[in-house]
Amino acid sequence: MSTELTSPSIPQRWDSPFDSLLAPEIIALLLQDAPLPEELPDEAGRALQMLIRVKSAPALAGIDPTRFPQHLPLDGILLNDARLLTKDINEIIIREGDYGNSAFVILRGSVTLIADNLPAHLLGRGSRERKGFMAMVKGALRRKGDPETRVHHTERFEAGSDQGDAPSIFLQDVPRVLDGSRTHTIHAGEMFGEIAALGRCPRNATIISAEANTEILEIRWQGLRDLMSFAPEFKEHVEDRYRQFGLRPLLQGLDLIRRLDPAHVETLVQETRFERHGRFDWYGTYQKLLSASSAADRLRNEPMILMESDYINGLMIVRGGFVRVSHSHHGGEKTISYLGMGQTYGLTEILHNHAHPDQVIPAQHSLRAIGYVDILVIPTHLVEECIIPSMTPSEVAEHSRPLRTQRETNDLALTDHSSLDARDRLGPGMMDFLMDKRTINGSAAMLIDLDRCTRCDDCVRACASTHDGNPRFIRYGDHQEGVQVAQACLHCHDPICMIPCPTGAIHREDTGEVVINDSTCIGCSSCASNCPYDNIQMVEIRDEHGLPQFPSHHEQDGERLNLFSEGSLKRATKCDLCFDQKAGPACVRACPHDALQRFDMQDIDSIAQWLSR
Amino acid sequence: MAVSIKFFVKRRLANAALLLVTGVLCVLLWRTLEAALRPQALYSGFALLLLLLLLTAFNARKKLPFLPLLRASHWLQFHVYSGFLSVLLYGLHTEFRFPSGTLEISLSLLFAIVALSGFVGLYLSRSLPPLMARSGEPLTYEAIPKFEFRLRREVEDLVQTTEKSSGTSAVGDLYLQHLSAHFKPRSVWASLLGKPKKMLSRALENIDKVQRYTGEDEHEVLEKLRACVRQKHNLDIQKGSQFLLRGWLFVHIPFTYSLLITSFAHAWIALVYTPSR
Ligand code: SF4
Ligand code: SF4
Repeated sequence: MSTELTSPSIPQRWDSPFDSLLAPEIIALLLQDAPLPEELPDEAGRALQMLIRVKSAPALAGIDPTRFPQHLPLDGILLNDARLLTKDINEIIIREGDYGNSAFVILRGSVTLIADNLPAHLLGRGSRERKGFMAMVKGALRRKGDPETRVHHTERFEAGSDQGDAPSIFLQDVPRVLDGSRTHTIHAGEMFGEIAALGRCPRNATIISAEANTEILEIRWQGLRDLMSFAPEFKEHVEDRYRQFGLRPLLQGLDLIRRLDPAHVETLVQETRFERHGRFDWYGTYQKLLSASSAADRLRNEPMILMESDYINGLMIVRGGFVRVSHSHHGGEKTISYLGMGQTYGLTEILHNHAHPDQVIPAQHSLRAIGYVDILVIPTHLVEECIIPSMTPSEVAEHSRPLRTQRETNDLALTDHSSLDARDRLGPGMMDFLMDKRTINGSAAMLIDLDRCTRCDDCVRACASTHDGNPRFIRYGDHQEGVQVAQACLHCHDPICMIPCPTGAIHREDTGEVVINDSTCIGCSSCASNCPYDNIQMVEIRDEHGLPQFPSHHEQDGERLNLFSEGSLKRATKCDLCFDQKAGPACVRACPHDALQRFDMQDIDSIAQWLSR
Repeated sequence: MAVSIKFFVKRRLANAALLLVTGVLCVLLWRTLEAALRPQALYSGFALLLLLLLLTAFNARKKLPFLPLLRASHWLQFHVYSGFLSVLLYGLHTEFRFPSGTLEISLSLLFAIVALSGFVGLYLSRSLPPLMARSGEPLTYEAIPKFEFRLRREVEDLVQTTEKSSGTSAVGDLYLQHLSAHFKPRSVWASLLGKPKKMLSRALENIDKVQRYTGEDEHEVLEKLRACVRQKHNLDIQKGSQFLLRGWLFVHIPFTYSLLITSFAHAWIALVYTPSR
């Protein structure tokens, strides 16, 4: 076996192994083609032991290493994309609501899954507090641009020395929590966390270590993806678990399926296919792509999910990410709309073919992955057997109408979802702009109507007044046809910023806002570097005298470190949608000219209405 | 075919209707009070003072964004239409007479300035944003001088390099004789009064003239110059418009406070010296 050939100048897949403690030379030594030397360095010996144990864990045991290509060997994946964690009793491994991109395999010990929602303070998150009246008045009196002050700031977390940059967080008040909650024990050899990691959705349960010294293998998504690609048994295992725990509730949440009898639901759960398209890490390349290529090139770069005029072999349900819907037009492709989570495609064609078996029509549009897309496909015959019979005549008519209209006018779009004529309502330029800039990811994107905005900056001043003198957005940004997308957090449907946060300080509130908990933010700037829209600012924090603050842990190995060597303390800041204000987002309420509005970009109707006021 | 009325049109119609009804009611009330020999000047004076206070409260609302006090856009609507109403009330209160006496004249003058600046402000707020939106890149006012400086340097570099490489002075002469004035950073007043549209078309015409007797390579440079001329035009529009959009408030707000103080003085005098019945 040999390691991947690397060029010193181009960043390679395994330039930085997940386990920062495992030196690249050790990994190279273990992966070499030649037999291992008798005398191995301690570190290599330990890593080898780990490999042997990992490969015998039931979740990974059946994997056939010969199926992996030479440049991506199984051992290479396990050494580079996985790391060993040792967790103490009651230490939190996964926290409900967090985003993460790793799955876990228990090697020794066991963990407890807590299915109930736990209060934020028990999870070390700090609770959501609305600002008091006096605090609001005080904040409003501060001048715009005053330094970011944190009084009596304490660092709650320090980087764990044994596990890279992951700090330890313990569940509080465990006996009482476990007493009143629905729990489930996961034993050694089993896997958890892969559903949220692969679907990029929030964790839906909290998992804590049930024993001291529980050993867990954490596999990052790159490794998971490769294991899924080259180890069909592993893929099957993951998909089985998803069918068991994730798919059923998801399908039952859909209008068309909710009403079906349990036997039909079960059939759908067993037969639904999973498809993933595009790059999981789209955000790393999209800005480059945007500036480098023409619109047609960008379109060609988006992976095709379904080609116009292909036979529709199932009802497609978007589970995550965004899909571009287009159709051919004068030799090119004309974008009609986009689909987001929970939206479907294909029902209209299936209904038509079911009603007219002698005039079968193919897909009327092409579907392409914008970034990364996760799709569920319910095979056509099951749609015909289980779903169509349960549809009311008016539902059938509603889904068939666009086809009739299209035949009559030979122009209009054929759609399952009302948003598919979005192009007509938003205009072609706007549609492409929102997709190219990935603004469609926003659940609360700030749009400014430049035809009405008098540039008075009342919105910015209101933001500053509600955030202790420091506005959390810039009235500046890309614009199209008189509409500007301001440089303010979009509160994304797919909040990429949350993925690398080591403490879960950046999180989504129950009400949907993506906010940063200042008391658990360690200022590592992972979120800021991951936000593809540059909407997080790292700010230097000051004490009440206006002086910079420095880390308090300035002793290491008994040696006193230079207090200033590590730089001053920083905190991540961004728009929090005024979640702690009684009155809601100050920017929207402050605009006297009805020029500024926040939009869920999936709500095309509202955007279209706003644009044509 | 049903015509769907747009939101802003609908709102304007509704508010105008409400204003009309309120105005008619005010006139009727005035007539009734007059017929009943009630002190209608006193009542209208108080109504006017109250309205003035409410109109001024809009500015206070802006300073308290955290209070759940309706959206600023609702306040602005109220501010605009009450502003119109206050003109009618003022007319009724003064019985549409010319003022006499120092206090009355000062009050009327102040009222006229505030009302007029308000109407001008409303007109500017509705007419300039679309103009700015169509003229090019949206810019922040504070950043405009920096862009002016950068653009001028860019153009001068381009002209010098072209002169050196082509060995002819056509582009250099064009710049010196016709374009340098266009690219000179202008004061806001010059941006406003210098007829930016006319300057733009004149600069473009001059470039067109030179194009006729220049070679292919220079055509490319001239195309770049055209783009820069348009950018400068945008800078002028942005600078002038944003200055006006900020400037009118420097008249409207201080005069509002002066009007308020003078009105209180007038009310106090009226109360003290009005013979009790
Ligand atoms: S910080 Fe960036 S990635 Fe995160 S929610 Fe806001 S806009 Fe999206
Ligand atoms: S408050 Fe409204 S009009 Fe003023 S700058 Fe902000 S968006 Fe523009």
